[in-house]
Amino acid sequence: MAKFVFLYRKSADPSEQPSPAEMQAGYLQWKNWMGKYSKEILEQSPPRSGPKPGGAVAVCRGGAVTDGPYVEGKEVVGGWSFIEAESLPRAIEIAKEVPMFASVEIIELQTF
Amino acid sequence: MSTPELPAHWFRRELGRLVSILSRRFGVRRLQLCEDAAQTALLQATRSWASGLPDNPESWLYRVAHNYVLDELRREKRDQRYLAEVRTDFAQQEVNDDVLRLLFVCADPAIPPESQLVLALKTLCGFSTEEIALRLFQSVDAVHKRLQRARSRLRDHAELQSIEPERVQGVLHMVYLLFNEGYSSAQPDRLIRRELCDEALRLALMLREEPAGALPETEALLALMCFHMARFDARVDGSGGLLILEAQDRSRWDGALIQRGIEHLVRSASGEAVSRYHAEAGIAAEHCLAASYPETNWGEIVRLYEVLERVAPSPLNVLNRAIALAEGQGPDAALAALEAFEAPSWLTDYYLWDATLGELHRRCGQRERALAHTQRALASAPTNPEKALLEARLESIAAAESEPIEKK
Repeated sequence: MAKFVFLYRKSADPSEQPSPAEMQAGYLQWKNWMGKYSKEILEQSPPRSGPKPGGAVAVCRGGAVTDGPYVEGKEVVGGWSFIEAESLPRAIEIAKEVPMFASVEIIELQTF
Repeated sequence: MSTPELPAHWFRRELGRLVSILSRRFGVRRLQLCEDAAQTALLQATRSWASGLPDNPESWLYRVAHNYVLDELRREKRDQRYLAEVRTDFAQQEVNDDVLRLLFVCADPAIPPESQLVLALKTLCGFSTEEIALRLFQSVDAVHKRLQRARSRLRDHAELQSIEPERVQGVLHMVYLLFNEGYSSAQPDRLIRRELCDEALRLALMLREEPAGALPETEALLALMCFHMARFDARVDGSGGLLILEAQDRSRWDGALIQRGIEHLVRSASGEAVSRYHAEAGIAAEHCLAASYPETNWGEIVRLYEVLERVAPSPLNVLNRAIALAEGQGPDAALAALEAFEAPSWLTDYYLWDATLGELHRRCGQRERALAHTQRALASAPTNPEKALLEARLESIAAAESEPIEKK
């Protein structure tokens, strides 16, 4: 099993923030997502961990996936999760369903 | 930790509450920052709470938003002095309620009334720019500009020190529109937002307690809201469909609220000025006090719509008056009144215009025109219950063949 960190990014533009109605819907989507992947989402961050040299990286944006740590200039990190999955493709599957955020950066971890 | 469902519109309500509290604490000059903080805290909550709600969600939100503001203030070096000035305990000011207080701030006479409303809907009621645009018949761009100008005005001007009597009218108008938004929302599937109505009622009651706010108009607005609220639940049938006034079960109307409405109406009858709230409360009272739909005093309602047209002219009054005319004098009189009226294009594009014309033609036995108007109304009806109502009406017109229907 491999461990990944998901970094969630959102637009920094104040006019592109979600409305309260969207947040209300987003809360339920998060609940569903966490329920669906309760086995994969780690409750604690892995101690003494960092990016794995030569490990997998990918950015998932609106269903499209790119294989590099490339992010948009106008996005800021809004949160993160630690995920345990057998492979990068599986991690990407999970990331594609992350609600609300503009993009999810996936970074494979190693523990020391 | 548990994961109960949050109540409907919870985020919307909390946003307004947070912005009100924060802007009171940090100053209205900081409105944008307070909004950002409230937004950030709520956004954090969508994710953090999905695995379990904190024991006290409201204070969790307040802590996160409050810390956000403090962090931002610390970041701005020039604000170091200001930070030291932030008062930790507020002396009781003239306005005790945070939300009411912020309404008075929004009612700055230097801000055009339309923009005051946009600001209040955005900061206090948690509406998105799109929702406001839909509600106020304006473009998203125009709403956006109004918001920016109103905020910059508040940023550049001093704090509200006390309740200024000249702001009361603006506050009343915002409460009125807030209530309308709850009572007849333009949003699909959110027809009934009882919470907004309750909040409007609460704000009007608070306003009445303020010396500057204890006006006949405030009583009239309260009467109006009580009469409408009394019929709130009776407007929907068992399956969530919308019932028109004629089809409502009057025994389901809330008699206690009607009684309260009458008390407010009696108290509103002092002073000289007749406001739009007086006229509208009078109309609502006629409906509430009629024993049945046919026994409604349509003549009085037509007269009150004419009063309303004098104090608050709007093409919508002509449409509503025509509906009362149709009941009192027959559909021909109503059609004649509408045909003589040069309606602006926004009104003729509004679904109620076509829905009304369709119904009047149906009663006159003009089947083709009834069908055409009802179909046009259906195409632009904003909510699902209203669409369902119009579809049922279309079917009944189509089923009636070409024979004249209940010609009065």
